Amino acid sequence: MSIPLSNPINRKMGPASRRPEVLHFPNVEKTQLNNGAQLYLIPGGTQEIVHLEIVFPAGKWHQAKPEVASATAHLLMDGTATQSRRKIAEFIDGIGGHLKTRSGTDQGKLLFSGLKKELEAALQLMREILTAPSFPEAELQKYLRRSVQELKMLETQREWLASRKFSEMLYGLEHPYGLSEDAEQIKMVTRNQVVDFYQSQYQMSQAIMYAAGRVDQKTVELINKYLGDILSESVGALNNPSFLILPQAEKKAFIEVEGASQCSIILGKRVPTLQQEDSAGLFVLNALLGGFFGSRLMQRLREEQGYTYNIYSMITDLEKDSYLYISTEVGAEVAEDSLKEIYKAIERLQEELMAPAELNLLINYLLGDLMVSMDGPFNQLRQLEDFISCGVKADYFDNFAATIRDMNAQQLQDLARKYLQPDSMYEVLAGKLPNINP
Amino acid sequence: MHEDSTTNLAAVNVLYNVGSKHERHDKTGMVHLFEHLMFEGSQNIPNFDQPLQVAGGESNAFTNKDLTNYYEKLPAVNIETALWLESDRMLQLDLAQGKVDIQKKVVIEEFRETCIEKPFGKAWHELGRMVYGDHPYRWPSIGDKIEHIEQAELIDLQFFYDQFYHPANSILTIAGGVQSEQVFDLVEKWFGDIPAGNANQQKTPSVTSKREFQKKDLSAKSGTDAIYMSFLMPERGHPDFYTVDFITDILATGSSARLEHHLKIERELFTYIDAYITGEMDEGMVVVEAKLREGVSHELAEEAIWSELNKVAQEPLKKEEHIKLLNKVESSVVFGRTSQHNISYNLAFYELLGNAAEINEEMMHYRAISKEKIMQVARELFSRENCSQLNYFQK
Repeated sequence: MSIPLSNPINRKMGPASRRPEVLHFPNVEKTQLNNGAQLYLIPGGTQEIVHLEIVFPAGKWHQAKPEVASATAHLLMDGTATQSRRKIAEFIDGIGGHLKTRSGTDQGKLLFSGLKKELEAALQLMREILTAPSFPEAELQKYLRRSVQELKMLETQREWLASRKFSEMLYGLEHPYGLSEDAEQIKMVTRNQVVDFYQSQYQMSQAIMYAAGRVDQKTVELINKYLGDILSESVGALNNPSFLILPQAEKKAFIEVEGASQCSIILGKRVPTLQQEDSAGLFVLNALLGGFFGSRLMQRLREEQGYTYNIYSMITDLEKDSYLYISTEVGAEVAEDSLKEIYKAIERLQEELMAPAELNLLINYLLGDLMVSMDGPFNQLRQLEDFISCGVKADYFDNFAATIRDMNAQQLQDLARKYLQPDSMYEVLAGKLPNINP
Repeated sequence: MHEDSTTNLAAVNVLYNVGSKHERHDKTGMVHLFEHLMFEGSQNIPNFDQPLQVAGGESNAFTNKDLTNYYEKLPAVNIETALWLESDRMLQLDLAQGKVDIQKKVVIEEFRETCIEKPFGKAWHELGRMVYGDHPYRWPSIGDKIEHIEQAELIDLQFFYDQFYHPANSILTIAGGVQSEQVFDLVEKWFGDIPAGNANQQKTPSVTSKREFQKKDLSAKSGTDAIYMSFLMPERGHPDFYTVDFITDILATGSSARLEHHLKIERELFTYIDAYITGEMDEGMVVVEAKLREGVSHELAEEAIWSELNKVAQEPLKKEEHIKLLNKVESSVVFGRTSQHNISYNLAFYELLGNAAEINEEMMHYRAISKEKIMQVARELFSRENCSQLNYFQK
């Protein structure tokens, strides 16, 4: 990398900087294991490390009863036909690796990261976990007891209460993106439900895998050797229901929290998904509104008013829908003003064309940020996985980067008018509000 | 400098040898508040962040008890922009009352968010008071109380700038897709003419507070009871420092670790348990932190934790477990090398400790730990007189 020739020192002007280069997504090799599981290979990195992710259609979306997806993912690590929870944990710690499961709204995952030399040993264990989990009843009961108590803890936290209410309002209580389980539902999970969920959703033939770091053809062979011959007994029974989004009629909610010195504010709405038109443009618009330190909201509410330590807006892309939300914690005494300022910032996006200098800054910042998200195999894995989950391909990235580069002020204003009408926003406040009548 | 030709990004890190331990006890939180003001413009550059964002980069900073650390991440071709920005705020910051007033409000909200509104947010203030007595490690870097931040004046902050923000009191490290020769020339260009100033000679006293068991009960709207046990440990540079760190690995690193396995999973006494060192340069703390399962008393929780601590002191570490833990440490060292930002900060921190090259010797210290040493250090560490304890009861 060569740095541009340096000019004589001028502290007022500073050195000239270049617009960050617009990157292409590296060529990612896609292959299939013998059983049909898909595998993406993302080589690179400076250390002898491998990350392997196995993604199953095993999220909240696919569960017949609340909490079952989460319980299943958790219990996969709690024992197999030949190994106890402790043995599994000791083995993984012993090779200096990390092996864990995760479950969310749309997926269940098995994740390994560790030294390349230990990959084969880890694959043997992963095979056992995926083919012969024992789902011990005692461990299930322990897990459920902990979950009930963790929920009780979360329910004392203002931010969490606000965010739960916000999801309910956006998607309705019948939808996996809107629903959160209560303690009674958690207690009702049974081992049979877990076993059924595992059998229908953790089918290797349905898995999408990502291997990043020090990976090559030998790695593919190794993965195929241990995971490629796993055949599911119940192919075809995959559960993939559809749901209606039934947003709540009331767009504003207030949750009273006694004794709070701050107030949580969360507001936002559903926006187009990555598969739909305008998603790349909205990404830029969101950044301008609240996506980085130089954003309108951060500058106004923090740097000019001192109302908050942090405010941000972001777009969450789930598999089947996307939403944009703004979130902050502000002093209770300035909650009302903060809310006004947030709406003012949104209205300004609609009313004013942004100045060329601000647009240039925004685009350069975002292109630099894209370089970060593409830096090294592990960042690339995250980026690719996000795309694949949302149903777009790796080449989406190239269009995405070009759209960002070519964005103009008029397009941003049009998008703000089209998508960010203040009266389309859902709004939740949680805290103690001296001046607002809920 | 650390060169890495596989990336087209660079990380620039500027560490200043000033932390909250250099504050007066009646004017705390100033070093951290001042850190905020470093982003509010310098003599030649009215807005710090804008030129950096135009160059495709971003910046941040943190303050702890020992030091203040600033960093930028940006495309390597634009590294000179970061050097220009860092050098100008080192040369002459543009402090003004209006900026101070706004950042005081921001930091007060930060204080409320992290120390008041979080269920166990006061724990660090409380533990500090018990463990450190008069020592300036007593208060967290955000400050002892909100009133100190409210009362901060421009002149207090100016003092820290004039006293500590000089080349001789700072360490500049760079990592990423750049070449040393070129970068050294650019560093010379932007930093070379800044008056060197003096290095911080302020020595913090040793902790002299009387060692006796202390316990305090607190209540919080948390939905769970909790317990914090804290033990004063030796400073960095002490021969036992790494052994203490390794002891917390025995207790709590990985999902097969003793506290997690025995107390959370097997005996179901806790829904969460962890043990770690706070890692300061002077005498830091070993902290055991746990959330109690509903129905478990603090007495039972305390007894169970002590039984695990005593086991480390009384039973020699088995060979298998020893090897497991060394592998775990080794892989965490390797994983730490995947981020340019980590590398540049760690280089600066080791240099502050005495020698950046020591960064490559880390593993050696862990390998040298014997099982006899572990027991001896654990016995000294885990005594009742050395324990300060918080019992949290849910409201």
